[in-house]
Amino acid sequence: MNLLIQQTVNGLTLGSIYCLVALGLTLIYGIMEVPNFAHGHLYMVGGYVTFFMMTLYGLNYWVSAIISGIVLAVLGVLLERLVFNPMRNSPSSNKFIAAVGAMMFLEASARVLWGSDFRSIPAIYDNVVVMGGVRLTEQRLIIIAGAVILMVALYVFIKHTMIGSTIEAMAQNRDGASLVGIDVNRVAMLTFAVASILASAAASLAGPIFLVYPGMGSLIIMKAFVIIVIGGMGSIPGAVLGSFILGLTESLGATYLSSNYKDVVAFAILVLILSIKPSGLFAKGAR
Amino acid sequence: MLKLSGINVAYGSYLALQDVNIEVNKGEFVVLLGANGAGKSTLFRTISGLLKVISGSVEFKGQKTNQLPSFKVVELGISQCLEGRALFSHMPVKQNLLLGAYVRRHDKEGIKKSLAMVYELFPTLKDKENALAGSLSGGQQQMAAIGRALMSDPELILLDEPSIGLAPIVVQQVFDAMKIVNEAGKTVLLAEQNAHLALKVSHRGYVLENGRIVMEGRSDMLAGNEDVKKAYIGVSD
Repeated sequence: MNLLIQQTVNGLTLGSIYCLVALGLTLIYGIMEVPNFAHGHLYMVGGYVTFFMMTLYGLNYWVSAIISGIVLAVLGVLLERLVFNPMRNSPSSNKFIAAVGAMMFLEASARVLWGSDFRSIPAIYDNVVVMGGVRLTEQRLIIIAGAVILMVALYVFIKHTMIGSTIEAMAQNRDGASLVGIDVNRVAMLTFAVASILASAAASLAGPIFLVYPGMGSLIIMKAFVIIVIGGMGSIPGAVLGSFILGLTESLGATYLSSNYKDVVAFAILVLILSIKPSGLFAKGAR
Repeated sequence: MLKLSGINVAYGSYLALQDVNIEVNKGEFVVLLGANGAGKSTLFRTISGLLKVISGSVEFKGQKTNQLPSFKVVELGISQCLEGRALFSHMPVKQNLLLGAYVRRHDKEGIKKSLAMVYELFPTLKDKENALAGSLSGGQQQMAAIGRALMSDPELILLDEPSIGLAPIVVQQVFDAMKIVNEAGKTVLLAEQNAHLALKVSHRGYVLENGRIVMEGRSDMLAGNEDVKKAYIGVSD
């Protein structure tokens, strides 16, 4: 029983990290209509920025995470301006290729600049908390709490502010958005900035437990991609639900089957869900 | 107020509008008649900046607008209600209306007034303000789309085929509302196939065929014209 609870909490931790990355991916998909394959690599750069802020400049963990968020917001906007904006009216296949190119560029740059070593963000919250017989490090609780706070903040931003709702408006009807006077360029930049901040937050939260290395982006983008397919492309609730489904099945699958089958379980879930609901759990209607 | 001079618009190599000249004066209600594919929507999209001209110019209040992005055109005071409505269908009606006021988002008082005005014009929208726009009936969606276009407090409102797919009684209601809007001082440019009603409420009209203006004049004169009758009203000999 304890093992079950323990693994459920681990699954929630994993789901929280996936969720922050998948939310950004789904937001960008909503306005660009192409998945940003480089999104996982923004997560990777976010991890490195936090790591270097702490180790090179000796900054506090939270200050480092905030700086990382700011740096990533700028990087996200640059990516939109330099790579995706010039392609706005190009066919989807061109945008696909551009996204893959950006992904390779970021990973190769990380290898050249920082080497291929595995690094770890110094853990400062590694005390063990015992709750009802379950042993957890504080960092895991911080991950879950941090993700929940960011999800609520994102929800309030999109649903209850005029600026935030432009992202949703643009995703639902691009012509309609243009005709009420929403500036398409501004929304695109805003969306990339928000999505990049979420990715960097995920990396800063995950860094002390998981490792920081140039290839970490490729791994998580696969998962995030599976999640938004499960949840329905472009759907925000779908991304949240999909993340926790994946996090929990991976964690429980690894425990009760074999950790070798961890990823098999994840993809089996994908196949299962898609065979029942081919357009994802929260598919958008006709747009 | 609005002046289109010799505009040509193309989709690839297909010329959708050829040498179109239109002028709309302040306070007028002008109708643009034309069958499917005549170029009405193309013309409206061009005015709103969604499409660019290959030659000619669009001027609004003396300012050239054909190089401006759509949001600048809206800021200048032209609001469009697209054919097909282009609502944010997964958002509540009220949110759609509030987004219509996006260009004047800092004018809280003005937004409140416009919202009250839209609710007075279309009381059903008030009842449905928390319903998702996509769940409304066709007529209600059309009202929401017109309401949204009014929320920016435009000087000129472009309405692209508001009667399409609606029951006759609803069409009448929509046309009445547009007449009220015009009488309240807004300039209206309406694209329609339903010439019978459109010519009743409007002051002047243009007839668009295959991307060219083939006829223009006062509405009562157009309504009496045999060719117009045959083509758009469906009364022959």
